[in-house]
Amino acid sequence: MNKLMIGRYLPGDSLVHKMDPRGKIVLVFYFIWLVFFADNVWSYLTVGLFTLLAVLLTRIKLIYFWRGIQPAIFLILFTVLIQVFFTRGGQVYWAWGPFALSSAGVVNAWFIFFRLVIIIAMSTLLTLTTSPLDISGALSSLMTPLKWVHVPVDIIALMLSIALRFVPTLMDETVRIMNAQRARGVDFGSGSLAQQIKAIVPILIPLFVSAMHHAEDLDDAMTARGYRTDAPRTAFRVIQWHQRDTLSVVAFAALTAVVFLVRMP
Amino acid sequence: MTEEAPIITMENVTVRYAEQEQPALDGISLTIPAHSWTALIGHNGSGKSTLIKALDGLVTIDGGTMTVAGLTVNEENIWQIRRRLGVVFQNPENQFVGATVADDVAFGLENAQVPRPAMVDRVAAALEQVGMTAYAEREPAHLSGGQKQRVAIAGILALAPDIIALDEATSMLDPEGRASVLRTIRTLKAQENLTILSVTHDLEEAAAADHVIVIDNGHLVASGTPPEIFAQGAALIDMGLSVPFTEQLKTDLEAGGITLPAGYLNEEEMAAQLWKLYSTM
Repeated sequence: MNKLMIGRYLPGDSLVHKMDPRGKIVLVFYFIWLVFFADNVWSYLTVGLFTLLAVLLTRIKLIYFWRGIQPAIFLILFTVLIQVFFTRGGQVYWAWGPFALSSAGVVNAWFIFFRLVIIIAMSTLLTLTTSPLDISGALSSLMTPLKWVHVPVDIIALMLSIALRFVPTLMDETVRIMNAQRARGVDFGSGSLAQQIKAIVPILIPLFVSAMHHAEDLDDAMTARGYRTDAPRTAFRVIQWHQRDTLSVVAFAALTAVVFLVRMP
Repeated sequence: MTEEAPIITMENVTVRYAEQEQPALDGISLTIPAHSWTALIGHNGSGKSTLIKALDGLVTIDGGTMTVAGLTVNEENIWQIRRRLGVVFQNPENQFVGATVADDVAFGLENAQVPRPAMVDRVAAALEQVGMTAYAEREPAHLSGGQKQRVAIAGILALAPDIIALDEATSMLDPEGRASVLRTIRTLKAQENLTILSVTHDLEEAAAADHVIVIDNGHLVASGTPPEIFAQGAALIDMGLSVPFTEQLKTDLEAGGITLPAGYLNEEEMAAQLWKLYSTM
């Protein structure tokens, strides 16, 4: 049932798990930006070691990070090959038409390879250690300034949280509908592409109908409990900024300093 | 009990849905005494759920007047009334708003703008009262139907209402879940001095109520204590009240010349009887 969970969150008790999700999101995006400034062995070594340290801090088995990288492996190899054969510079070992194998190409390919692996590992770290609920909470908290331009941030946040909450419910229903259709002789996953797409229709229609029923009932239940879109509400779930979050910002600042120090002048 | 002041009154209330010829409620008048347990029975589509929704302002009425906890049901009072009257709906899945149990219990409090420190205490207290403290951080996907309904009750309880309306709140639950929810409600009714208005198909539950109101086709057809109502026996069936499945089966079997022991049989007992019959065939 939970196989298709968004982002595959692994609950845990590590320092990384306990970080403020807002800080985590912002820092991961900042880190991805920073990685693009690495341009030599030393700067790549710095961001690489930093990533390794962060990964070790999560106390999650490395195999889960590998699973994060796996789906992108062909993309990575493809990019690396393009770099290897199309970059010219330094000593040229071999050339044929537009293709060339040069020392600069090999070096560049290595850098690109490391860059992609590091970026994917860090993004995997974010989704592995942050629950979808925390991510949605953090995003709505980060969107707060948009209230100034009349974006209904609270409503969007509630919508997001309800959507997440209904994912398992609708998944269960999909399985039930599929079984019901199988019992009536519908064959999923075989036949031509057109036939397979056709087989999806008798799943989608009942699923939409049922989603509408959920929505109608939920509307009544929320109104009965006093929910009104035009009234202010207080918040039960609050995200707290701790000292460890300040420390992590300091760590990233130090990383930035080191990267820019060891970069090529 | 009957001497208590009425906490709910309905005077000639009519509700008409668009595109339907017959009104869902047709001139219903009733009073429900405070601190009582009233069972509202009637077959599907008789208007029982509409009645609850009308009291909570979830459907607009086309005629008549209603009061809840001394307040006239109108646009001005409705948000106050919703804090006095909590509704537990039929489908456990469709009233779970929060991402976790604690978040869901807090939902009503957030709407009522209760400050967070007070909210934390009230959520904890409400979960304690329904015996769900250990599940505070759980997500709804990991709860049974009965547990979800108890969470829904906690969410209502946190708002300290006077009345809890159960809109077939136990009909989608397994026997165990049904028993646990009813037990919870009974305990809470005594502790908090609540008034319970329960729409039900469960004859056993109706039999344990202080009052029974029978609704058919939008009309109030009978009202009285359980013995008074059940004394009418076959007349209930004529009213179109949906008889429990086992009771229906028993009637049909007896019509076919098969005699079963007298008295109400629950599902398990009926199954045992059927096995017995099968082995002697």
